[in-house]
Amino acid sequence: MRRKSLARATTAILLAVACLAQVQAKPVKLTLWSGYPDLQGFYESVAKEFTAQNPDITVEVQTFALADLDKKLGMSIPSKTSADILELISLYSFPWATKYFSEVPANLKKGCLDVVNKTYLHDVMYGEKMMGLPFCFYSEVLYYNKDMLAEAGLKGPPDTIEQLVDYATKMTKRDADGNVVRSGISLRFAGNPSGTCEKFWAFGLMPFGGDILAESAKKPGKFHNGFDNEAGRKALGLYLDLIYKHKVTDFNIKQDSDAFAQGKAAMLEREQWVVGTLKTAAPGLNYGASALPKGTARNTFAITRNMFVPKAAKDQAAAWKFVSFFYSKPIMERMVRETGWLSTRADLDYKALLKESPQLLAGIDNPPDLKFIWQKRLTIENGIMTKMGEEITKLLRDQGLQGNEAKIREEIHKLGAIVDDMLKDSDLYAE
Amino acid sequence: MNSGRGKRLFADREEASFILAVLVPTMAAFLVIRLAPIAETFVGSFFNWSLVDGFGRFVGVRNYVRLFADKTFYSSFVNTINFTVFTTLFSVVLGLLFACLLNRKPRFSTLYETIIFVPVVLTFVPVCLVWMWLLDWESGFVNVALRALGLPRVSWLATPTMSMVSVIIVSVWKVIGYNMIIFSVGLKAIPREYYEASAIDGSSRWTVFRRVTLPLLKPITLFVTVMAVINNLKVFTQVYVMTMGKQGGGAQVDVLVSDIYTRSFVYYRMGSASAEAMVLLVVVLAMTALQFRLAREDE
Amino acid sequence: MAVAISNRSRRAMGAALLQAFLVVSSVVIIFPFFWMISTSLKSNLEIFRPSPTLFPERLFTENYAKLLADSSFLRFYWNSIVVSVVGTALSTFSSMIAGFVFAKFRFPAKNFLFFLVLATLMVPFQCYMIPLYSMSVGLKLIDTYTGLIFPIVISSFGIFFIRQNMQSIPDSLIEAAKIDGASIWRIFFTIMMPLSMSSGVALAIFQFMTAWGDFIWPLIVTNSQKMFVLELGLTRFRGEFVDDYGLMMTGSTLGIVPVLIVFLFFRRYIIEGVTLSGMKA
Repeated sequence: MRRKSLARATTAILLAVACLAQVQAKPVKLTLWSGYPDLQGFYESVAKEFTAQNPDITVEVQTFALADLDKKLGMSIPSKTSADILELISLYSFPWATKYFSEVPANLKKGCLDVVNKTYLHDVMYGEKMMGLPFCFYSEVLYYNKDMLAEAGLKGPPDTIEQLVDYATKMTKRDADGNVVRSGISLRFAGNPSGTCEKFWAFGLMPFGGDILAESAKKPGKFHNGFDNEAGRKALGLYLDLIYKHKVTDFNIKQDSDAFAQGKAAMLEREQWVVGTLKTAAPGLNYGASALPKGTARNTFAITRNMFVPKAAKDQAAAWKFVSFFYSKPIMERMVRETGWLSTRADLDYKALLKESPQLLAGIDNPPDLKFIWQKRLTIENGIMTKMGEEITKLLRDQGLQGNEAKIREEIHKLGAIVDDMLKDSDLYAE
Repeated sequence: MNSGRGKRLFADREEASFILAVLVPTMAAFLVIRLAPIAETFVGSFFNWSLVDGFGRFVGVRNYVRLFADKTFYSSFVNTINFTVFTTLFSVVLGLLFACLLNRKPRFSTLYETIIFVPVVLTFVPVCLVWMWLLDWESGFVNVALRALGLPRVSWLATPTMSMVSVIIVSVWKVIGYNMIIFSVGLKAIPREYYEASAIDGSSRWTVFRRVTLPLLKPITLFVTVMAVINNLKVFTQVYVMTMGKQGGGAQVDVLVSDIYTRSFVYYRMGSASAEAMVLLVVVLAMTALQFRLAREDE
Repeated sequence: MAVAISNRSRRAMGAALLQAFLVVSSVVIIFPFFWMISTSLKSNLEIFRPSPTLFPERLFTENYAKLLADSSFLRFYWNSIVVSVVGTALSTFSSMIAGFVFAKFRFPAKNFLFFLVLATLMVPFQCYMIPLYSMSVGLKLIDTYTGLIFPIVISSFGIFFIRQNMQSIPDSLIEAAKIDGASIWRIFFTIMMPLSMSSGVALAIFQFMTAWGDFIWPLIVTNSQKMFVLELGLTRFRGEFVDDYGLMMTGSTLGIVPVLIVFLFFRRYIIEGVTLSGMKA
């Protein structure tokens, strides 16, 4: 009698265990989207390693050109057809984060908070909620060509804005017709307007304590433009003086990292990815990197790349498991070493990892007076920056504006009004 | 045979069933694949439709009113018209020119025809990149060649005006072969008898062209021009790759479709973008109707 | 005697001038394509040099080897072929038959329907792709061949083009066949199609090229790599910061090969198709 019931109980238990095992062994296929095709190889190898450790979860990696990814997000997130894991820069997450993404699970959140450099948490924290995991960052630094500095008799990179203007003037080279053949410093006034505005923000507004948007003191959560003031006027003035008064560059010559690589620019303000480009495009270039020069303040911005999991993802647990694996110390070390992207983990030995590319350390060894300025995370922000970029591009082509204080004041005021109108349109304006 | 019935060629029932058999699936496909989405866009233009928040509330003609008060809309509009006029003009005339020249069957005409058609076959993104390199101020081959010939360099991409010129050059270059082939098909349909008659007559080549060829080519010319205008009013890819790229590239040129794109994917204002799309549709319709009207007047 | 020589030499000079003009034009027109191929055979280092070289210093065939051995690249190629061939076949046939109806028949609302067809040509794809996408989501066509192909199975341009061409085919031929007792379908297949062979082939070539180069719709309707088409795959060579120009030019060059083959193979039919028709009243 007893044996029979024992046998039955055992069978029942065995069956239950078998069922559970079946459920747990169900294979899960996740997809991950990234806007960085040059990292496809790296992501795929991490995915493979992950599957080796978790055989029932596979991760398929899709990379797209960043601008294309933006289009895809717009179509797929509201219709719940996006990938399970989204690797996005913060800017692309702002419209979706609070409404469509799920919160980072508690244990992963704690694990992250234990090791992360808290500076880089800003963009994913919405109050107490962490809506994504920031695993990588890049910040704006100053690149300078050491040979050209030496040639001009200069000891080191400029530390203040005045020095920047001075050094740029000294390092500019022109040909017989007066065309610039080497820019003292590369300026951004063409291409994607939102990028142009971003550079105006970092290069022009930040040293003078300005910002694109400023939060209203009376009504927090609402904003107004942050540059219709002395800072904005000085910023525009700086650009105009550099172009028309000191003539450190012109509209014809190549700009940006391509120019720096080809020796057509002596200085450049850009993010860390330049180091990787220069390795392939100009392996022998003798250059260094330092923190942005200060004006009335030393500011810079950083962009974090984060892992998000949409609420519509089928298997949340599996998705976050991958994210957790991705953020682990060995994988992050590999990322730094192999790709040159900097991790947000504070516990990595960067000096050792970055031996081959010491210029990357400029993003790690931040001077004590350096402050990070962040974007306001509004859906309309990309739109505002695009609009501003278009207007700034037009203003910079107006030679008559240079030195004309009254006109500069007027144009900055007009631009401020445009931004305020856009805020009012989205019901986000307050003084 | 079909006396008193004009151009009817077929008996009633067979004709009707054939027409239905063809048109019902075709028009159904158009309905689903084109008309319904376009209709949805039209409806959306009256709403506060945001890509992020969904359709939103009904706002009547507010999107249109705002659009017509927007400076960027006007500059996009003017740029689009400029682009269309110049690109159509050059690409049609050059297409016809090459078609006529090659119709005379000079030596190697097959080779020339193939070469001229190659740009048509290339896809836009790499083509725009190549042109951007070729038009670069310092290291672009075009300026290098100009300097070698003793001519001054041209700043192809630095100003909005020159940027537009460069986009027009690339667009014309890309489409000449396409127009040429269509004109070729039309030219070859003109029987030799016409040319032989004029040769006996003693008329000059140019007279033959003007009096015989051009009129006979009218339906084809109309077709080529209408298609060119429609396609040019919708220009986007070249403008996007050459002037809205991340680094380098030309000074930004706004055209209607790039403005629509910016409204959709940068400002997320789908309602506004849809309104602009409908305005573009009206413009295209108007210009097409105008061309058909002009063509009929010539008769 | 003197007059005869002068005529001949005038014609010879004319021919020589024509050749000169054509040679110069061809060189100018083909140059960017040549540049593309030349770049695909340069190493990245050479591509980034400030002063450009006309020919690669050393033939860098590594990019070609890399891509041709890359299984995902080959997969993109295959997808492009499937989508373009099926799409072209369907849209060419549907355009020919619908073009025939619009060209040679009379029926109520004909002009209105034709206008409707033409009007859809006038709205750029970017303007209605979002509703089309929502429809595809609803019909579960995301990431499928059907999803990639269905928007291109009909073509307003095609119907317009075929109609224009068929209008010039004489009605008398059709009437004659009718008298002989042929059904409309037979008339279509035995008279209309052969006579419009050149325009049909030209249309097929154009449709193929358009389908082959399209990347916007494939971008939004496919989510997994194995469904990517070639044009979409090429955009991946544009990293956000670093463009692998060499690979991109290589991929593009490899990508044009099918379209060039299609054109070279079929262009004979365009020319011969017209002369075979024995057209003209």
